[in-house]
Amino acid sequence: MQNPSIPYHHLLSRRQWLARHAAGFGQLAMAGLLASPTGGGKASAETSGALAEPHFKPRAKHVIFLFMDGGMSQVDTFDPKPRLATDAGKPFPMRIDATQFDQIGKILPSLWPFRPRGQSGLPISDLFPHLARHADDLCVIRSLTSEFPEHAQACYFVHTGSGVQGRPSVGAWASYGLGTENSNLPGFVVLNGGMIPLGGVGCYASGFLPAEHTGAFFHVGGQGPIVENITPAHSSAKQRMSLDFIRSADHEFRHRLGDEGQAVESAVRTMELAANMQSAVPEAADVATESAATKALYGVDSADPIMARYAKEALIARRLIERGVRFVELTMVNGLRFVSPWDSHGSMREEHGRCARSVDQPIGALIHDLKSRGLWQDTLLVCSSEFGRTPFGQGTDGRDHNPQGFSCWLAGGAVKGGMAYGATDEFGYRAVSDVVTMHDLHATILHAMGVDHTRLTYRFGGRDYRLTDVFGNVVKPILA
Amino acid sequence: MAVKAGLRYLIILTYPNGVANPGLPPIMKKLFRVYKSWPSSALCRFAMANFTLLLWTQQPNYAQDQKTTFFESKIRPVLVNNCFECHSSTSKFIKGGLQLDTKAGLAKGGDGGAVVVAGKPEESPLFLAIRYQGDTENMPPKGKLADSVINDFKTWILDGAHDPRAISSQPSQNLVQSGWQETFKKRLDWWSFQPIQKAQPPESHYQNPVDKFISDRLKSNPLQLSAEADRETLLRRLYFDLLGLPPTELEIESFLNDKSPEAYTNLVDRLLNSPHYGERMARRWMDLTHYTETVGSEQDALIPYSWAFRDYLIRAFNQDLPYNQLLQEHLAGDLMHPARRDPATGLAQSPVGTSWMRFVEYYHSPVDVKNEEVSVIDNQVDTFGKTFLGLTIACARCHDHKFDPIGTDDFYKLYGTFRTARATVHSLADPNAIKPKVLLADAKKHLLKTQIDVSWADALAKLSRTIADAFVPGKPLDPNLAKFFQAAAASPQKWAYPIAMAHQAMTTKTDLKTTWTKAVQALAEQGLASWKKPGNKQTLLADFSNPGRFPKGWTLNTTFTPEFSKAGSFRLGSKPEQVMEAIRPSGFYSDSISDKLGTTLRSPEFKLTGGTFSVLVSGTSNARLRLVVDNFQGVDILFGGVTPILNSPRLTWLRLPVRDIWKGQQAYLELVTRDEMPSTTVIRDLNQLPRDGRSGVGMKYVVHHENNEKVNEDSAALTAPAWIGELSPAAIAFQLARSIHEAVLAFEFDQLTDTQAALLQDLIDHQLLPNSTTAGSQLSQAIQAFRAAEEKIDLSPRSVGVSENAKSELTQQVFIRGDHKHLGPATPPGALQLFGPKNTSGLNPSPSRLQLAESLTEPGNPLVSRVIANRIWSWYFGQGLFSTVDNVGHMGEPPSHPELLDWLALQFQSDDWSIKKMTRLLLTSQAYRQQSLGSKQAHQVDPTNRLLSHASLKRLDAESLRDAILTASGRLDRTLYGLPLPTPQPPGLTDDKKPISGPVDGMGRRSLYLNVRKNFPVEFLEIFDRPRPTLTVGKRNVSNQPAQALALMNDPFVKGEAERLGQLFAANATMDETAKMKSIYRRILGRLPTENEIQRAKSYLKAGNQWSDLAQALFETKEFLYLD
Repeated sequence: MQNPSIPYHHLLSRRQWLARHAAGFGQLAMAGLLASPTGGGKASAETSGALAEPHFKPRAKHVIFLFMDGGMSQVDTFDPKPRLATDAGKPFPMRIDATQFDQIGKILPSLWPFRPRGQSGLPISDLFPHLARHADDLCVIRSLTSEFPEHAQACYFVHTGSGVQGRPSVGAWASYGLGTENSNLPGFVVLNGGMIPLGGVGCYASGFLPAEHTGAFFHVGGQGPIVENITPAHSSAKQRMSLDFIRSADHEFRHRLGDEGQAVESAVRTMELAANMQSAVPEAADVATESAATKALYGVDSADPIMARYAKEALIARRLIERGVRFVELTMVNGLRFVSPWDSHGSMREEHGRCARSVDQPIGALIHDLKSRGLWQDTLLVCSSEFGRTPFGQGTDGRDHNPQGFSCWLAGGAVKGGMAYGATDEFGYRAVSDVVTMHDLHATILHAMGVDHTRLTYRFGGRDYRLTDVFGNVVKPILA
Repeated sequence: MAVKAGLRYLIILTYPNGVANPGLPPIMKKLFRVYKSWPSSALCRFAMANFTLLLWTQQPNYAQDQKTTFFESKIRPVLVNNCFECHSSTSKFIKGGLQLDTKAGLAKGGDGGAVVVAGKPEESPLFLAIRYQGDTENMPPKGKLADSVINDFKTWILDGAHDPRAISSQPSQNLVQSGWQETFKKRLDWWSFQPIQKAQPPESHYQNPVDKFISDRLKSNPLQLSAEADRETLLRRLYFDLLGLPPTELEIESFLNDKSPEAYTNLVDRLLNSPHYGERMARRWMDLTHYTETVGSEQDALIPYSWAFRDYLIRAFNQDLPYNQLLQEHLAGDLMHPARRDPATGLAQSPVGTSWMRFVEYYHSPVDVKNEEVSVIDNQVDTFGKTFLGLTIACARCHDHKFDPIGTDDFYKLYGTFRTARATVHSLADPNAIKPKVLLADAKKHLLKTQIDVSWADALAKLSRTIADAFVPGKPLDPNLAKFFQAAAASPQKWAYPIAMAHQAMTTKTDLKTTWTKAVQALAEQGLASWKKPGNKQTLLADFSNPGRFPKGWTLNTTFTPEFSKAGSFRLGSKPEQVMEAIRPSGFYSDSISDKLGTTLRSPEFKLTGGTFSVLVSGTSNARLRLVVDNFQGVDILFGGVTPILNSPRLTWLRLPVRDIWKGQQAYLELVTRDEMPSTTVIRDLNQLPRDGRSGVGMKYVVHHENNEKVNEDSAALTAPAWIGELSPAAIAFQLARSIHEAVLAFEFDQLTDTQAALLQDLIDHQLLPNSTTAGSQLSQAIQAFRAAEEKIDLSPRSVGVSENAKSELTQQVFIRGDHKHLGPATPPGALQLFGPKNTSGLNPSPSRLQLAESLTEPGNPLVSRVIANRIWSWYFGQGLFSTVDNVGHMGEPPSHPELLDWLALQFQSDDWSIKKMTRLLLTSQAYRQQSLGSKQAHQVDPTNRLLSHASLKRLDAESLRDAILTASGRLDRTLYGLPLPTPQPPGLTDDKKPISGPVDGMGRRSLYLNVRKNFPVEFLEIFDRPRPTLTVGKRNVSNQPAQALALMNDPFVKGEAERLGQLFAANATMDETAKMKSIYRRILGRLPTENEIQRAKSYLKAGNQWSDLAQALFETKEFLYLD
C-alpha cells in the first residue's frame, strides 16, 4: 500500500511511465515542435491527470483568467445604476457593512456613461470601448460576492476558494484533475506582468497538491528569463554531453538499486523533459514570429509600454493554450500603481482609466484572435477582481472595497454571450438576486472543463479537500 | 431533497377548503404517493396530523379565514423556500436557534428572543432582516426577497402575524447533537485510542529489540532482512539522516580506517553529539510548527525574533531535552517557573518554546478582528493537535468531527485555553547576571542627584534674589522669571498660578487680595483631577502612583524595573551637555534606572463599550501604547488611532477613541518598549532592526470617559497648606522661594511630591535652574560614572512567544458552524473527551495551558508517545510505522507493526522521553543498516516495503541538497545560530514589500538560516518540496518536477558552487588526475569512483569539459539526489 495521503507520482512503474509519456516525450516532442512552421501546433502527448477522464463532456479545454487585481468597480463597468446619478451626493441609505477605511462618503454616480452594446444591448460603460464591441460574446455576472473585504484574503479566496494561504489555486486543481495536453509545458501558467496580487505567490500555489501543479511563472517583459532557470547555463552541445554522462551514471545507479530504483528512473525522465522545456518554453513565449497584423491587433508594439506588456501577455496566453496549457492567468502590469492597480480609493477617474486602457484593446484582440483561429469553442475566458467597489464614495473621487456584490464576466464556447446574470440592489451595493458566490464561480469553471467540483478531491491531513470546500453550485443558466 | 419536497406538498395540503387552486388535484395525488412511500416518516405523521386537524377545526370566522389564506399563500411558501434550509427541524444546524417550521418555533423566536412582534413590523427582527436594512443580519443571505414579498410580510405582521399552523408541534431537538454520544463511543474503538500495550519482543537471534519485531514479522511472509549496506553507503546515510550534511573526505577516510567492531556505534554516538544534529532536528520541527519569520498577507510583516525559536530548537535537541518537557514548553513555557536556562549562555529557554503560536498568518487590516482571532486560534489548535497528538482537532470547529471522537465542544475547550495566550516578546537574559549591574547603575544614579543639587546651589541663591526683586514694585523683572509667570498665569491648573496672578495684580495695581482669593479658588477647582468631579462621566481605571498598590489585574513583564517609582525619578539628557530630559512625578517608569530594560505592561481584559481611553504615558525611541482588540496582533493601519508611537520622555495625555465597530469586543491596553512589540511593520532588511535596546515607557493614569471630555490630573492638592498666611508681595515672594528650596532639597532626599516635580521641571524649562554641565565638572564625572555603569547592563536577547492573561475568561461559547457571530452553548475548558471521564469530570476549575501540557504527558496518554515514537521512526526509515505521521485518527493509516510501535512508545517513556536514546536504538538496528537492494520476492510480496526487508530509497530534502552542494564545494559555513539571511529574489517579481535580495550562495550558511518569509519563499528550496510555512507538515511531499532538473542544470547557485569546486581541482598541481577523480567523487557522492567511472570522467574531460563541468554533472546525478 502506498501512503494514501501522498500520491507518489514518481513511483509510477516503468510501464505506467511509458504509457503516459510514450508519444510526447523527449526527442520526439522536441522534433514535433520544431517541425511545425510556427514551432507550435497542437503539441504532442497528453499527460493524464488525477481523473482518468472528465466527469462529463468538457465544454472548455482551457481557461484564461484575466485577473483585475485590486477591485474593479462594478458600477463603473458592467452594472449600470441610474439611481446613483439621481441620488448623487446624498448619504447612502442602506445599512453599510464595515468598510476597510471607515470613511463613508456620499453616493457617487458612475464616472463613465453606460451604453447598450451589440445585438444584445448588454450595457458596458465607456471604460472598455474595445471590449464593448464583443458585448454579444460576454456573459456578465452582476451578482458575484466575496467573503472578504481585504485584499490578501480576498485574493486567496478568488484564487483558491479559501481566505487563508496554503490551499491550491484553481489552476492547480485544473492541472491536477485534467493533466496537461503538452508534456513539454506546465499545466498551469501565470503570466507575470510584474503585479503579483497581494497575498503573494500563495495565490498560485499547489498547496497540498503535488508541486508540479504550482502555477509556473512566465515573467513577461521583465528583466530576467521568462522562466526561472530556463536559460541553459551551457551550450546545447555541452549540455547534451553532460546529459549523456549523467544518464550513464544514473543508469548504473538505478541498476544497483534493483526494484528500489523506480523513483530514479522517473527522475531521469523528468530531466529529459526539463531539457526539452528549455526550448519549448521560450518558443511558446516568443511573439516575434506572429504576423504584424496580429501584433498590431493586440497592441504589442503600442507606444504605451504598460498596454504593450499586457498585450504581450494576452498574445502569449493564446500561444500557450494553442500548445495545450490547461490554465493561464494574466496578472496586471507593473507601473500602473505601486500595488493592486484597480484599488482606487481616490483618483479613481485616473486610476481606473489607466487600468482599463491598458487591458481593453489586448482583451478585445484576444477574443477576436481566439475566434478567428477556431480556439473560441474550447476556451473559457474569466475576467474578475477579488471584489468590487462601494457605490458610495470614499472621499470625493474614490470608492472603498465592496465584496457584497460585484461584477465579473465569462466568455467562450461554454457560456452564453450577450447576457447579464444576477443583480445587485438599486445602488449596486449588494447582490440581491441569483447571488453567485466565489465557490459557485469555481464550481462553474470546473464544470465548464468537464469536472464535477464535488468529485475532484485530494486527501490531505486526514480529510478530502476540494476547491469548493463544502459549498458551490454550478451556475447552470449561463452555460451555453 | 425529498424532505423539502414533502414540505412543499404540505403547504398546498393545508390550504383551507374552498380556496381556488388549479394546481391542487395533481398535487394531492402526488401527496398521497408521498404518503405511501414514507409510511413511517415523522414528517408524514406530522403532515397527516396537520391535515386532519385543519379539516376538523376549520373556523367559520371569515376574517380569520382570510388571514389564514394570506399566511398560507403569501407567507408560508416564502418561509419554506427561503428559510427552512437553516431554520427548521430538518436543517443540518439550526442557525440562531430559530425554527420557522412550527408555530411554536416561530412564536419562541431565536437565541436573541422573539423575531416577530405582532402589529409592529419595525420592531420585528424578522422583518428588519428581510428588508436588508436593520442592524440584524440580512436574510435570506442568498439574496434579498422581492419588494412585493417584503410588503406581504409587513402586511402580515401589521395584521397580527397570524400563524394558523397547529400548536401541538414543538421545535425539535438539534439533530446534530442527538446520537453523538453513541457515535463517539463507536469511534473511540480505534487502535490509537486504546491504552498502549506492553509487548514482549519476539524470540530471535537478533540482539536489538527492533530487529526482533521486524524479523519476526518478515518471517511469516516469508522474507528476511537484507544484507548490511557497505560502509560508504552507511556513512552517507547516517550523516544525512542525523546531520543533514554529507561526510567530508576526511570523515570518510577516518571511518573507513576505523576497524574496531564498535566503529559503527561509535559513529552513531559521535554524530548524535555533533552540534549539527540539533540543526537537522530543528528543521524537522520547524516543518511541524510551520516556522516563519513573517506573517504573510499584504505586507508580509516581520515577526520579530522568531529565529530565537530556531536556535531554541537547535539547543533543545542537542541537549536532548526530554520530549515531555519539550511538549510542556511548547504549550506553556512561559508559565514554567523558574524558566529553564541554557547552561552555556544563561538565556531563558522555556518561554521560547511558545514561539510557534505566533507562526500564523495575520491579516494586514482585517475589518472583522474577531474573525482574525478565530483563524489564529484555529491554526494554533490545528498545529498543536497534529504535532503532538496526531489529531485533526481543528476539524471540529464547525461541526463534530466527521470521523474521529472529537466533539465540537472539544475544539472550544481548547479555544478558551489558547485564547488567554497573549502575543509577547520575551526577554531571555539571566536576571541574576544582570541584577548586580542594574543595582550598581541605580546607586550611581542616586549619587547623581546629590551632584545635581550641588550644581543648583549657586543658581538657587541667585533665584531667591531674583524672586524677591520681582515682588518689589518698580524693580526690573528677570526675563526668564517673566516667562515663568506668563506660562503660570495662562494655566489655572499650575501650582504657581496664584503667584503669577498675584504678580500680575501687583504690577497692574489691582486688588491683591481679590485676585489671590480668586486664583487660589480657581486652582483648587481646576487642579482637581477631572474624574473626581461629580458629573464628569469619567472612570479612573488604573492609577500607578501609589506605592504597593499596583493596579489589579495588570501584568508587568520586565527585568528589575520597580512597579512604582517615587516622584523625582529622572531621565538623563540625550545630548552630553544636557543633564536631565525629564523629572517625573510618581508612577511606573521602565526607565527610572535605565532604558535598557525592555518592558511590557498590560491591563486585564475588558469589554469595549465605546467612549475614549485617556492615558497619561511617556515613552521613548518609538515605544508603543496600544489598544489590543480581540488579541489582534497583525499590522495595524486600521488601528492607527489607538496604537500611538511614543517619543516623549515626559508624561503626556493620549486619547484612544474606541471605534463603534469594536463595541462589545474584548480588548486590553498594552504599553511596550520598542523592542517588545510582538508585531511590527514591514522590515525588508533585518539589519535595519535597532540594536541598542534603548527605549523606555512610563504610565500614571488610565481613564475611561465619553468622547471629547477634558481629562486632567490633580496638580495642587498636595501643597494646599502652603497658601495660608499673610498676604503681601514680600510674603508671596518668600512663599515661592521657600517652595523652590523645599523642592530642591526634597529632590536630593527622595522626598519629592508630584507637584514639586512639576515645579522643578517648570523651573528647568524656564532656565531658572541650570540643566547643563561642563566637561570635567563633578556633575559631569558623576554622569559619566552612571553611564559607564549602565553601559555594562547587557542587552537581553529576545524571542517572540506568548504570556498568560490570567484574568481572562477561559470558558468559551461554541461558534455555531464555526461562525463567531452565532454563539452556542458555553464550554468550560478541559481535556479532550476522548482522554476519558477521569480527565473531563475531575476538571480543575481553570485548567491553564500548563495543566493541559502536564496532563498530556502523563504516562497513560495513548497518543503522545506513540506519535513521537513514530515520528522518530519515520525520520530514519523514510516512512512511519503508520505513514500518516500527523494523523492517528480514522483517516490515518493503522500501524504496520502495532506491537513494535507500542513497545517503542513505552521504551521511550522509560528512557526519560529521550529522543537521542530512541534514535540510537533505531540506528543501531540491523533493520536500519540494510542495503536498499531487496530481493525480487520482496518487491512482489511487499512492493512499498512496509515490512522493511530492505532499506527504502530516500530523496534528499531541499535543505540537505543545498547544504550538500555547499559542503562539496567547500563553501559551507558551519556557524550555529544567528540572524536569518536574505535570499536571492527573482527578477521580475515586484510584489509589494519585496525583501532585499541576498547573495546567491547565502554566504555559505546552512539552509535553515536562510530567511523564511511567508510571501517570498526561497525558490531553490521550494522546488525541492520545502513546505510553505502555513500548516503542520510531518511528512514532506516528494515531487518529481522539471523545475528541479532545471535548477540543477541552470541555477546560478549550482553553477557557482560547481565552479568553486572545479577551480579547487583545476588549480591543484600536486594531485594527479586519478587522485582528483577520487577526491571529487568522494566530495560529491561520498564514495570512490569505480575504474569504469574514472575512465568515463576522464573522457568527459578530454572532450573539452572543465573540472567545474564534471562537478556540476555529478551534482545532477540521481545518486547525489538520492540516499540509498
